[in-house]
Amino acid sequence: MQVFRKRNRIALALVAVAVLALAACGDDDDSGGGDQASQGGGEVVYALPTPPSQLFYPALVAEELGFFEEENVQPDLAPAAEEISATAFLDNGDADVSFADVDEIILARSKGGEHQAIFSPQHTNTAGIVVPRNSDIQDINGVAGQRVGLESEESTRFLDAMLDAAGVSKDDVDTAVVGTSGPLVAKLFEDDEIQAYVGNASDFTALEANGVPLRNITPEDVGRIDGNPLATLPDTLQEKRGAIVGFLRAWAKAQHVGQVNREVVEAIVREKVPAEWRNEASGEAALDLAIELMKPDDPERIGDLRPDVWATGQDVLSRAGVLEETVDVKPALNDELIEEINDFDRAEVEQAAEQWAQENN
Amino acid sequence: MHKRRGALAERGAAGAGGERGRITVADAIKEFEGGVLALDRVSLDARAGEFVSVVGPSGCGKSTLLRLIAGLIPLTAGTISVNGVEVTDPRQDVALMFQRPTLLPWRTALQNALLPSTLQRRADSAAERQAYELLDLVGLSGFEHTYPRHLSGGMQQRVALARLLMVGVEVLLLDEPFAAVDQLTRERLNVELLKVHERTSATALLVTHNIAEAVLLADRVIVMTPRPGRIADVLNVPFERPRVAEMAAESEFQELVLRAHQGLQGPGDEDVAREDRSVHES
Amino acid sequence: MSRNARSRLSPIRIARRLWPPLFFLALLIALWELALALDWVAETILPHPIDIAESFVDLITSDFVWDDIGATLWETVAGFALGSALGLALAIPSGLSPIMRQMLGPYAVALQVTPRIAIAPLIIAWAGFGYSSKIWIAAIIAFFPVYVNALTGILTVDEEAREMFRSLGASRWQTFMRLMVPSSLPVLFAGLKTAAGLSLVGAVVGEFISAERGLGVLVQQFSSQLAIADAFAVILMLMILGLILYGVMEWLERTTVFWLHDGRLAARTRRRAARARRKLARQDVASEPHPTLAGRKL
Repeated sequence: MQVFRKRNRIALALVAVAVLALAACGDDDDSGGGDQASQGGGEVVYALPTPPSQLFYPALVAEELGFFEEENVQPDLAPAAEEISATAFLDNGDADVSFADVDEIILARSKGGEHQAIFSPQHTNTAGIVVPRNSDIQDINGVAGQRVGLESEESTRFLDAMLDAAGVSKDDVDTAVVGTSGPLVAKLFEDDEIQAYVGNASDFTALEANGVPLRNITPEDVGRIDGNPLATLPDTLQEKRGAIVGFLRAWAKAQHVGQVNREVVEAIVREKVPAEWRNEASGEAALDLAIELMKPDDPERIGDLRPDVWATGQDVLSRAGVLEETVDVKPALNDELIEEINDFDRAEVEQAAEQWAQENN
Repeated sequence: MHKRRGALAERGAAGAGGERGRITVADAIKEFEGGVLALDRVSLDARAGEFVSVVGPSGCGKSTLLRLIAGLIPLTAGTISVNGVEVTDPRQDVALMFQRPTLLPWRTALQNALLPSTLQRRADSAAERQAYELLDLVGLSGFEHTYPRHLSGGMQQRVALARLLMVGVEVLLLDEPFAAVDQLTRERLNVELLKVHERTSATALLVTHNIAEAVLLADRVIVMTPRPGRIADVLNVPFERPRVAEMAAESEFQELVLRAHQGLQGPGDEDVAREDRSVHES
Repeated sequence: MSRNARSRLSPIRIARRLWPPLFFLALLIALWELALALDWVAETILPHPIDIAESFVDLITSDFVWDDIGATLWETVAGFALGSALGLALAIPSGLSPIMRQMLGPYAVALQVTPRIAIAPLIIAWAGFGYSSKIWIAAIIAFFPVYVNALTGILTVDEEAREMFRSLGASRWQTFMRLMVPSSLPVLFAGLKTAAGLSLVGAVVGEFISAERGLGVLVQQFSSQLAIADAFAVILMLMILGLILYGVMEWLERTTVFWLHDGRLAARTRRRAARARRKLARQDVASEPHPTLAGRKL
């Protein structure tokens, strides 16, 4: 009878739903989570604070030019986000290595963690404070008595530290969290609602590329702090040393390509992250920034860890009142891999890039 | 709760011969939570094939009485038996019809009529044929595949009537089944009901507000008092069957109606509906 | 096609249906342009509609955006399925057992009132990267409307119908399947329609926080480059996606809860009558409709 048929239909629908639900539970796209200790393949799960982006061009370039393959490494991206602590991903095993902030790593250690920075590709800070270029404010001292827009609540401590170092009282400065919306910040500057903005280098370049000229008034010592050092846990390092070194060497090769052959990098990122090139000016500016950020202090030691800079970083934190007591930065830095990572033939790598350019033109 | 088969088996065992189609209510008392006394020692007997109407003012407990006989609510004291078997739970040898047709809106008229068979997993082609016939009997042929939303109130009640008859039992309990339709439709439906009663010779107990309806349909009319419900009077309706609507014009008819009205006013001290009591003179 | 169906799709009818919303859209765009012209709002914040339309077409015809559309769609659908399944799974025992209801009720409400944005990072940390975390966020948001509506449906079954089933000797299972389930469907579908839209929101929220691809990721990427027309175009895509999902749910509702729609009922009646006629012709059953009573509606 018809009723019977209808009953079957309902049952079928429920089964379909259940199957779908199970599929969702067990599903992971290509960036799976935390598969540690796979011996056979040299798999490395790395966490980035963004989805694939030209800001971290070495990941994309190394993939395209076959550097990961050469090193026999299978990299697996786990896109983290600003809100989630990068060190947390290391703690629960979701990632083998994670690009984190300097203060995140120091904080984690001060709470008893064993996190170590083993590689730091950006020798310039990605966070900073800017004012419109036509502003009267020339440096951080000029911010007293003004209103500062903040990218997020967390930026407060960054601002506090900079003010403290410059001898400006926190009470002299008015703050407001305005977010990262480019148009909004542009408008706020235009209407003189804020006189300075604490944010991200990517946001600064985007603003500039869209007709809002800026002046960066970040104090120099703060500006030198590493943008996104790579952290890991000692146990993981021991277990996957080979794979991690291979991963980072491939990264370093690609990073080097960026420093000497911008055209190839541009061609690659245009293809891999077309979404970042919708606005030509923004795309160009962002790539310039990315390459600039990844310029190593010492070209032979890409990713080097500089203890003096880290000591400053810790200073900033304790001045902002975030750190109760200072720790010894030395154990936080592990540069034993740097030489191995930099052990590759620069000329060979440059040639590989040239070859790719010819094949793909 | 009785398993379906158990009740039927019991019926087969105990309800042989003279007990079939009989309703016996003995000193029934029903008190609801909160101390409301709905029925105060009511007794009645309905023979096989008899049509009994129960009339009374609102709140007199007539619906309660019907529900007790149906097994839908528990008795506080006294006994009730149907087909010779005591009533403790809803039973399958009794068919119910209420004021609202309560048709399932996702089933056609035919499917609704077949509901009892479907629930007892007996919805085969024989049952289907029977459903067709019953729908025809209540005047709904051509509407078998129509959904309740497209049927008028009167038509829906007819479907409920057909459903009632599908159960194929000897005892029918009807609680103001036609109260929600207009007068004209109601008269027509009464005609259908009479037809059905004649055809099936089932025992019927009809609860109603409408005294004229009660007299027209029944062999006996039981008049109940206001709460707490007791039986005030019992009237024999001597008219011949098959009944026709014109009978309502006769003076004898009118007198019965009048008497029933009087019975509604006065409270009775004891119930008078037992079969073995002498019948009142008109 | 029957005549009725044909006339339903006639160009005149379609036009009549479409012109009110289109007119309103034209009005909206006129207002929009006015606002830009009078400088009430800056172009950098609200682009011209024509720019958005251009971006939309440009993106739709590109290759890469379809990966993102697919990702968001998958997260939404899977999240919706999961959330609905959980909602149903918990609503049924709650509806049938007062104790279960008392046990689960407060937690369902607590889950609902907790701002999902706050727990989203926790979910991501737990469910890991990949689609799972977005699916879980979408599921959590979709859960409550389905749970509440399914529960309401079960609890508000017509008392008299229940009594009727009891009097007909129906088992608990029969009462559940044949009465409670169909009776709850209208309310349930209302919840499912709400949940479908919410699942999309949940998926996008999850993407905002952590994802490799998806329409939410695109919006952020475009936004940060100040490619505002593109960002709006993606929002338009999200809107269209939401409308499509809603439309699918509406269609599903109309098919499943057919007894609330006159047109559907009439169609079913016709079909069944035709089928019955054929069956009768084959079986050669003798019963014929009573000539004087046939077809009279009283």
